[in-house]
Amino acid sequence: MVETDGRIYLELPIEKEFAGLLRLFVSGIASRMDFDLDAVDDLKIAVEEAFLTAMRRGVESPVQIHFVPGDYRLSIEFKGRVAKGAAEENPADDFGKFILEAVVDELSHMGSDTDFDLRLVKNV
Amino acid sequence: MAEAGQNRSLVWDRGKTYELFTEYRATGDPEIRDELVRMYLNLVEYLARRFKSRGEPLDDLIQVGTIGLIKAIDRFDIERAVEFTTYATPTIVGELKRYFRDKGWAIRVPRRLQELNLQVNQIVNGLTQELRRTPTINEIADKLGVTSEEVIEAMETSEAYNFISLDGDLSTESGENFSLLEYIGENDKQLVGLEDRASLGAALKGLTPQEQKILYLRFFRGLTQTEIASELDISQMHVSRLLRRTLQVLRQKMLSFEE
Repeated sequence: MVETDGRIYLELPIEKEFAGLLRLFVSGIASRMDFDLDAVDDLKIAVEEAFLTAMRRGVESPVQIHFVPGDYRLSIEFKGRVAKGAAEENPADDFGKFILEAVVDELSHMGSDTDFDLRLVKNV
Repeated sequence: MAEAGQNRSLVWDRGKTYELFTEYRATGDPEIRDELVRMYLNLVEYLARRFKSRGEPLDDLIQVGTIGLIKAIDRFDIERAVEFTTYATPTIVGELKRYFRDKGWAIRVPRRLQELNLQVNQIVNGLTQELRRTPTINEIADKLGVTSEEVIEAMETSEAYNFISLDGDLSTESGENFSLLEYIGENDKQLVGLEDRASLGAALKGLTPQEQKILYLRFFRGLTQTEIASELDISQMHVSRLLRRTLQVLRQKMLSFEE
């Protein structure tokens, strides 16, 4: 983990077992920012869902996760390279997007066939 | 042991084992290895059953144990004066233990965290009433005189600790006969983009009425976990656990490779 100017950079192997660690990690950051319990739980759901989305899309290890704490918001970016020919349509993707939209305030995906770039924002 | 014995006895043909290993070492033929795997699968099943009380589906444990079996087959030296089962057992058990260790240091939760979890659970309701809003983790920690990290750890590990097998039965005390499928039609506009509704519909059948209701209240009606807890008269942490389980069940049903 590296911290620069309030931004926190994390790299994780793209394996399901690490989703739990990510949940703990985001809880720590969110509690320092004084998110309430409901928002902390939303963030845990969000990072797990985003992590699994990256897995489904065939993102290569490690996936990079940038936490950007703002004045009244936490922005989380998932970045990684998509393995060639790995990005397939999946029924769980739509469901994942539906869940993400319900638990965060902003959701954007700026990636391409070769890059994964998902950004979530949760307001305090 | 009696349970495993109901299906297959734990007796293997030594001569056949020696013959297969000799041939496998000479040829490296994967079909011979497969035959050895089939032959000793009952050993894996027997050992996997010893771990089933830890809340993981037996099939998953057998899969993990089989990896250990394959490793044992590949490493076994037939010249050594030791039975293959004696050699393979610690390898299979080691693989199962590693699985639990990797998957969740959380599965064996220290007692202090279990106790702290109970305290957090109790204090959240009191604080919610006192503050007239959902508390923050820092407020819970202050009230209990512990660090926020300890609260986070207690909350997260307790979820894993309480996590029951995906096939496990959960109580439906306040779930009535709720069926989310009936509501989906009315709230269709909220599912724009969710194209594969048929698979969602099938996946929902794996949930209890209470879980479907929590899913509906959180994701379709946008209630917070605290509001849902109040509506269903259960704790916020219980809602959190059920919601996590619900999402895991749905992902598993919609996408077999993930779980």
